Amino acid sequence: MEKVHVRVLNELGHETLELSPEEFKEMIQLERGRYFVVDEETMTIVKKLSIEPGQRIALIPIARGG
Amino acid sequence: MSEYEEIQVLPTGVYRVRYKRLTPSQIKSLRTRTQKKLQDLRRKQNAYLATLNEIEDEMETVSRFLEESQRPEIDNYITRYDEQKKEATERAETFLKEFLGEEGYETYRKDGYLQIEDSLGDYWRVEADGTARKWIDGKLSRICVIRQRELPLPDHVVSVVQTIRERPETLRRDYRRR
Repeated sequence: MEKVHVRVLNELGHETLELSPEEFKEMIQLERGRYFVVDEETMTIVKKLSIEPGQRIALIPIARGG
Repeated sequence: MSEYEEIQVLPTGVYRVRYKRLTPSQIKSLRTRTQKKLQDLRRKQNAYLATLNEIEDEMETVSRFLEESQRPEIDNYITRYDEQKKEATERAETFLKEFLGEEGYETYRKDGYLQIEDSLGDYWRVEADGTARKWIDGKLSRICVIRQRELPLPDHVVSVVQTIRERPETLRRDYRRR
């Protein structure tokens, strides 16, 4: 089954993960509130987690104010 | 006569010398004072020696630490880390370009900042160093944004731009520095 390509912007300098849509959803549940989920194709926020296999996703950290 | 003066001519110059006769009790007192002074000087010398020993011990520890920190495997680690950081920054720069689009990226590089409109219709400016400013009452006011440790600068810029676009309310005005 084709995986979801996930790019996480972190201190490691773009960690890339290959996850099944289910694994991806699980990950997002755990990281909720820390990242914006962005479709790399359109660079728009993925509002509903209807992720398709093969989709390229970037997780962009939400900036915090002081 | 307990005191008298004389002039002495010496190879080093001409001196007026004053002599004072000492009584036995004055001699005893002078001895006591001199002994005390000698004791004080010895105490001072011991204190300096103790400090000197401490400094020498510390120097030895610091030298050993410096030597250990210059081990070849540590140098290799630093080189590897710097290379990884450089690659990470290059990847982040490429992503920033994709994120902003060719035109947006060119403008950002040319102007040195990005003009962003947030979801509430307010205008912001994100500088090339990742700092954010917001137009408030006709003036650009600095907004405090915490930079995540070790996050490459272009990724930080992406994060700030995305946050301004989607969740501007999480960023507040920095009243300390304007």
